[in-house]
Amino acid sequence: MSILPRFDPPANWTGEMSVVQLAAWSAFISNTVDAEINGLKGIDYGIANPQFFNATKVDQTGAVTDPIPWQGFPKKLERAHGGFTEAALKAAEPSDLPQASNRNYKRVVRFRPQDEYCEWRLVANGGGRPIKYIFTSEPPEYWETLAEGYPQTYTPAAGDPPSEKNHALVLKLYRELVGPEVNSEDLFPNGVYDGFNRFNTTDGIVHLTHPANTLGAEIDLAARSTATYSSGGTPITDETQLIGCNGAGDKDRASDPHISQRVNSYALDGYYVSVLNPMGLYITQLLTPESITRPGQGISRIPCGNECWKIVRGRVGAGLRAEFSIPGSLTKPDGSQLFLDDLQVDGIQLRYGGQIAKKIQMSLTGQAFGKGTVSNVLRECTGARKPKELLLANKVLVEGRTIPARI
Amino acid sequence: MNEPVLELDDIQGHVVVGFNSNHQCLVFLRFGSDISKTRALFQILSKRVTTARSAYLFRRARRVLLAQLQSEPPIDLVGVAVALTYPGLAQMAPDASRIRPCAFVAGAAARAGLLGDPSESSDAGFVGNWLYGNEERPVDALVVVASDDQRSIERELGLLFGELPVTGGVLERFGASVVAIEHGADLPGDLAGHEHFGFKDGISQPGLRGRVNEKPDSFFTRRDIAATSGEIAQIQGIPGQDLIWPGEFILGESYPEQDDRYAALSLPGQAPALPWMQNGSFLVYRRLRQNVDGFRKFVARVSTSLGDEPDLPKVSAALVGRWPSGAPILRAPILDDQALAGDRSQNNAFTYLAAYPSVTVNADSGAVMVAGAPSDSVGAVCPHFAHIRKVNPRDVSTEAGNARAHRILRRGIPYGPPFEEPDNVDRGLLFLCYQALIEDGFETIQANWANRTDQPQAGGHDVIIGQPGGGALQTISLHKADGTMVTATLADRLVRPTAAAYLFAPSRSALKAFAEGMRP
Repeated sequence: MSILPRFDPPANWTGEMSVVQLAAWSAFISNTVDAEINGLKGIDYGIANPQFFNATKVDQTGAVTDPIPWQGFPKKLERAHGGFTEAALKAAEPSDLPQASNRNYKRVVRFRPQDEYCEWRLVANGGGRPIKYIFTSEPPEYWETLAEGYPQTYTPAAGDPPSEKNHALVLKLYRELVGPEVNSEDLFPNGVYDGFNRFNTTDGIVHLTHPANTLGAEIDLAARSTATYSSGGTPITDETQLIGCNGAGDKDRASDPHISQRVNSYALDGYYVSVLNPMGLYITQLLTPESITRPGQGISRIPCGNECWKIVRGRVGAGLRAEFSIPGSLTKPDGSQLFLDDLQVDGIQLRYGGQIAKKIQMSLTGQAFGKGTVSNVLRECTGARKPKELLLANKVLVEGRTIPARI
Repeated sequence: MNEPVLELDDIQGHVVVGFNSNHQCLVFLRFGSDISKTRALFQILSKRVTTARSAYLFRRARRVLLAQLQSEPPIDLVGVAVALTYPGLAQMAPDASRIRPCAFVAGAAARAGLLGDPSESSDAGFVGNWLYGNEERPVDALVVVASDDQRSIERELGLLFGELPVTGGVLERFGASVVAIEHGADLPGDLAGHEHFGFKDGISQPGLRGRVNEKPDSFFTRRDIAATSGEIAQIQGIPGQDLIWPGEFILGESYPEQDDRYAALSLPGQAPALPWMQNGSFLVYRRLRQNVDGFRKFVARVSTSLGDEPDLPKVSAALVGRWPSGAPILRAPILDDQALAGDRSQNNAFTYLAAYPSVTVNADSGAVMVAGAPSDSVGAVCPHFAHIRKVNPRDVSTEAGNARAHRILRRGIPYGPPFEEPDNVDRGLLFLCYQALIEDGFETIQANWANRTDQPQAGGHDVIIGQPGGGALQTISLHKADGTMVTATLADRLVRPTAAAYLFAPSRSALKAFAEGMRP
C-alpha cells in the first residue's frame, strides 16, 4: 500500500508552519483535489470515473513521476511583442505595476505581469545601480495559511482542522526577506493579511501576485487536463487543440498548454494522474554560470555560479525563492564594485530580469499510476471550451485589455 | 490564409532550396581597413549569388530528368551563397548597429556557454582554441561555392575572387584576407549521403509554405498527400514533412510565422529590424569534429550493459532514431529496411504522441497508400534521447511551445575522409542551418533539447550532438530485455565544435546595396 499520510507545503518547507497549520494545509489541498474530482464528474465534464486522484486517499503503488518543465519568462509577452524582444522584456518589468480587479479577492489589486508561476523584482542600490534580482515561485496560499490559518480563497469544510494565525512570524519573515522597514499595518490592514501589500508588490517581493499564479490554478489545470478528447474519433494530442477543448488554462502561456498535454498523455494511456506531493511550482534550474560573462573580456567568464545564486527558500532543484547578485569578492579589475549591468548573459548586456527568467526552468512533477486500468470514452471536442466558472467569472483587466485569468 | 508569394529572385537559393551538391567549399573572410575595396567583391557576389528561383528551377529540372532517366541526371548547379557575421555586416551596412542585442549580434563565441560547448581551456572545442570564429581569428563573411564537380568549384572561385583563395592568403584587390577554407564533400561509396557516424543525413527537412508565383496552387513545396487523407494533407507536404510558414526562415513582413501553438496556424510576419534585411535569413555555422571511434566504443559499451547478445546496430539506431540507411526505427523497429529508407513517402511518416494516420500519396508514379505508424509517447521504440526525436520532437509538446515553431533548414556536409580504423584524422560535419531567429531555431534545439536529459521528454541526452558544458557526463536511460532500466554514461562528447560563426545571409538586393555603399 502506498497512501500519502498528508499533503505537505511546497518544497517540504515545514519549518514555519505549526502542526495545526500543517494539518490545515493538507486539508486545503485534499479538499481542493476532491473538489476538482467532483468537478470532473459534474455537468461540465460528466466523467464517470475521473482520472485525477487524491494521493491521501488512493493507493498509488508503482506510480511513475514525470517532471514537466517550462520557461520562467512569460510566453504571452513574447507573443505580444514579436518574440523575446526588448519590448517584451520591458513589458515584463513595468515601472508601475498594473492594477486589476481580482475576482478571487473581490477587489482591485496590483500585481506583476509575470504569469508563468515565476515572478521577479530588481533591487537597486541608492544610486539606482542594479545589485540583485529576486525570483519567487511561492504561491499566495502558503503565506495566507501561515498568516491566517487557511488560504483566503478557500472556505474550510466541516471537519477541517482548526485554523491558527501567526502574524508575528509573517512579519518577521517579511522583514528578513524585504527589509526592516516592513510594518504590521501594511501587511495586516484591518487585521487580516493582505498578500498584495506594498512590500509584496511595489516595494518588495515575497510571493506570487499574478491572478493566474496560484497553487489552486495549478491543481485545477492538472485536473482538467485528465479529460480526454477526440476529433472525428482520433485522440486529440496537439497541445493547443487540447487546451481549447478542456478549458484548463491559457493557450498563450508556456506553462499551461505544455502541462496540460503532458498530463493528458498519461490520461490517454489509461493512467490515474495527479501532481506529486508536495504540490508546488518550482524553480528547478537557474541560469548557468557558463552563460555569464563580463564584457570587454571576450569569452572570459567570471566565477559566478553558486557564488551569484542563492536559493533562499526551498532547495536546489525545488527552489521557491532565488536571488541573483554579485558577491563583493568579485570586483572590476580596478577593485571597484561590479553591478549586474556590468555583466553579460550569453553575450548580451544584462539589463532586464527577464533575461534571467528566460533561462530559469520552472517545473512541477506529475504522478501517474495504473496504466491502462481506466478507460473513459473520448469526448468529442466541439470547439473552444469555455467553462463558465473559468473564463466568464475570472476576467481581469490588464492595461485596458481583457485577458482570461485562470483561477 | 493564402500562402504568400516568395520573392525567389531576391532570396538566396542556399537558404530555401539548398545546393545538395557533392562538394562544397566554404571560404571565410576577414575584411581589411579599406572597405571600399571589399564592396567590389560584393558587386561580383550580388551578380553571381544563386537565387532561390535558380535553385528551385534546377531542383525541378533535376526531378523531371530523374523520373525520365531513372538514374542520376548529368546536370550540375554551381551554387554560390554569401553571409556575413555581425562585425562584417556592421562594416557593410553602418545602420546594422540598430539591430537589437540578440544571438546574432553577440556572435557564436559569446554563445558557447549557452550551447554547452567545452569550457576547459585544454579542450580543442574550447572557444579560445577554435580554428577561427573566435576573438583571436574573427570572421566577417562566408562565401559558399557548391557543385558536384570540384573543378567547377575552382572555376567559380576564380570568377569570384580573381584567384584561387588559400587559407591565410590575402585578396589584395578586395582588401580582405582568407581566414580559412573548408572543403566539404559527400562521403564516397556506400557512405554517400551519410555522415561520419554512418547514418543517412538530411532526410527530414521542413517544407516551406509559400508560392512561387501568383497562381493559387503554385506551392513552393509540393503537396503530395491526397486531400482525402484528411487534415494531415493541410499540414504536411509529403508524409512527415511539416509545412512551415516562411517567416520561420526568411525575414519579411509578408512572410507569416508559424504560430507556436498549432502546426497549421500562422502569425502575421514582422518587419525586419532594417528594410534591407527583408528576404534575408540567419545562418548558424559550426565546424563539428566527430569522434567516430568514440561513438563506436560507446555503442559497444551500451550494448554490453544491456546484457544478452550484443546488438550494435540496434543500439546505434536507438541513439539516432534511424537505422544507418535512414529507415526510422518507429517504422522498422527490428531491422534496417533499405526499401523503407529509400521511399520518401514512408521514411519520415511518423509522429510520437499520436499514431500517424494512413494516407494516400500522389507520387510521380501514381497514387500510393502509405500505412500508418503507431504512436510512441513513452519512447518504448524510439527513445526520448534519440537524436531525431530530440532535434525534431514533431507532435511532442515542449517547454518552448509547439516544436514546429523551432525548425531549421539544414545545409550541412561532411568534411574529412571516412573512418576506417582509430586514427587522429580530423573529420566531421560542416553544420549549416538557416532560420529567422537563431534563439528560436538552432539554440533552442541544441541548448534546450539536445543538451538536456529532461527535455522535450525525460530520458537522457542526445549523445550524437550533445554538448554537456564543462566536464559533465551525458546519460541515457534504456530498457533492458527484462524491462529493468539501465543508465549509460558518456564521459567525453562525441562531437565538439572547432569553429563557429553566426551569420546573416542577405537578399540579393541587399548585396547590391552593400556593393554600392550604404550611408550611415
